Amino acid sequence: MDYVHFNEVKKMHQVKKHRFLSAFFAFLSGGILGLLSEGMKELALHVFHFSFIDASFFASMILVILASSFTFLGIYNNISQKCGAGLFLPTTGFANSLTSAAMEGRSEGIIGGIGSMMFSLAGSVISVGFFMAFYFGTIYALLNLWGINLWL
Amino acid sequence: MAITLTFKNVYVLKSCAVATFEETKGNIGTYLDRIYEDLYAGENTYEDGEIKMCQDALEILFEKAKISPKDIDIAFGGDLLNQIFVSSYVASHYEFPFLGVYGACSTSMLSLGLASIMVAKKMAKLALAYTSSNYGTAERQFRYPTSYGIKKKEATTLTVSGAGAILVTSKKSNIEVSSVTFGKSIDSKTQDVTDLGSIMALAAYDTLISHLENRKQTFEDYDLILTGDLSLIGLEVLKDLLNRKEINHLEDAGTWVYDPKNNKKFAGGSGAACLAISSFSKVIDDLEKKHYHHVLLIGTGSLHSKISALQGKNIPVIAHAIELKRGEES
Amino acid sequence: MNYFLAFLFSGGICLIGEQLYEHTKLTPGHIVSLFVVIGASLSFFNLYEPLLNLFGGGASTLIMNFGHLLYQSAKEGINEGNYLHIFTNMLTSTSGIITFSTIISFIFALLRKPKV
Repeated sequence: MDYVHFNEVKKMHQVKKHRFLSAFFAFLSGGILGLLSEGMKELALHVFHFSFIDASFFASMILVILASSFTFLGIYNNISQKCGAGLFLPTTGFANSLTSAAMEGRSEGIIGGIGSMMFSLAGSVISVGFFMAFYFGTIYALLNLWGINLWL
Repeated sequence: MAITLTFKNVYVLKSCAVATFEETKGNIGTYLDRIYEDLYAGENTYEDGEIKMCQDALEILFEKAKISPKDIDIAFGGDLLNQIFVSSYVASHYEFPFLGVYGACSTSMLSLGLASIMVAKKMAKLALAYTSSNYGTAERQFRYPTSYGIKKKEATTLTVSGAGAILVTSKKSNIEVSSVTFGKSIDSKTQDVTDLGSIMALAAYDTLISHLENRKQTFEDYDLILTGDLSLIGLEVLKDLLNRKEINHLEDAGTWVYDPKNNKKFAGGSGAACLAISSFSKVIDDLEKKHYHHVLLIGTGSLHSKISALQGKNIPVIAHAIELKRGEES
Repeated sequence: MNYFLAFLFSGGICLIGEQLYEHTKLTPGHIVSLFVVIGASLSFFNLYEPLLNLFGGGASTLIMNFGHLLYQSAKEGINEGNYLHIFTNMLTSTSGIITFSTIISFIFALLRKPKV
């Protein structure tokens, strides 16, 4: 088995990546979602007179509703095929992973399927997030304990 | 080392192929025996849809061949799901002894080769080989949920949804199974599961060269050499490995089903049903009509599992080849 | 002006994420987890608040914000009480997004099977 020759041939036939196009769409979709979120927050603050925390939540809620509904209707993955990271980095990615995994698990029932498979993709985000908050929180607590008051 | 077994008196009785509407847009649409509207085939889950397609393929085959399931001496079946559940479940509706086999996407040729051995050694007069796959069930098991918004890379191949079945017998017919070459499981020395077509080309190369050497044949002896799941990229890699870029009767079933010209789906099709529905419909039909006289079918498979991919283990690949010949009029 | 900056920041971070996805072997799961860690780290060094003030919705929509909120709630817990409040307080800010997404996914999953 001539692996060296095989690897050379494989490299020769690697698909050409549309670097500029994919970068452009990721930038555009990420930007639009940022814009939408900011707009919703302003709306909640000035029109509905929510508090700041409630307004932030309202903005995230709108994104989650959009992402979950599109996933439910089956059009989300057509859009994300074009946009790539522009959709999985904001909160829409989180909502989509929950909804799609839950819908997929429907055939195994509520407990064995929907409930247990819902966090199969987003579980890592939550666990890693908790751990890092704990890690940094512990460092902060220790620094406080020893009376070291840095800019933190 | 790949081994080649030659047969005398093993003939194809009849074959059958069913698929969904998506698969009809390529080159094999008019040759299929039944077409379903979507992946569910009218059922509630993807798994039930695959079971229905597999069951229907067997029923249509028995009708076409004018036999009853009681006449079958032995059956070989497989699919892509865990514990090859679909094939085992469908077999439980019949009385014949069932041998479940797994060769990933090479299952169709693996089961056909084994069935032919049984008939050649006179251990069975009528043997059945069948396989199926489904986009929903395969994505769910090997990759991500179907509605998950991940951007698929261009080298991805999509699993073909359908089922194929074939009956081999010792009674003379127009199409003879001349030989089978069972390949070796080859370590591809790579862990990348996003481009399976290229790495399966390695197994196809090894089995093809072994087959031609063992049978003392050349490329020109065949009218058609059809590979299983290499698709656009893998086919070019194979042609380069063979140093035969100009060979144009070497084609790939993945590009027949999801033709890049009128139904482009990334790099093409793959899955256990890909080679099955292409060869058990179009190739058998064209052999009957004497468009081809000598055909080599090479099923290729990538033998990884979801956990092995996550653990970063090398992917083993394999290929099995079946040689079909058009006999004189019986 | 705020809107334009939100657009730029959000788009820029997504651009970085896209380059990571295209040119390395990282899956979206890896990239998202990485950004949560980055968010928590920036928050630890008090660098995330200025980002929020400057870019507004652009920074709050990304998953980095999730890491930031987790750390901030944990820190508030420690400041108000003892060390154990790092656990009891951690989910106070992010509770909204997690519970809302879970419930809406649950409802949608009950309603219909997935369509390709």
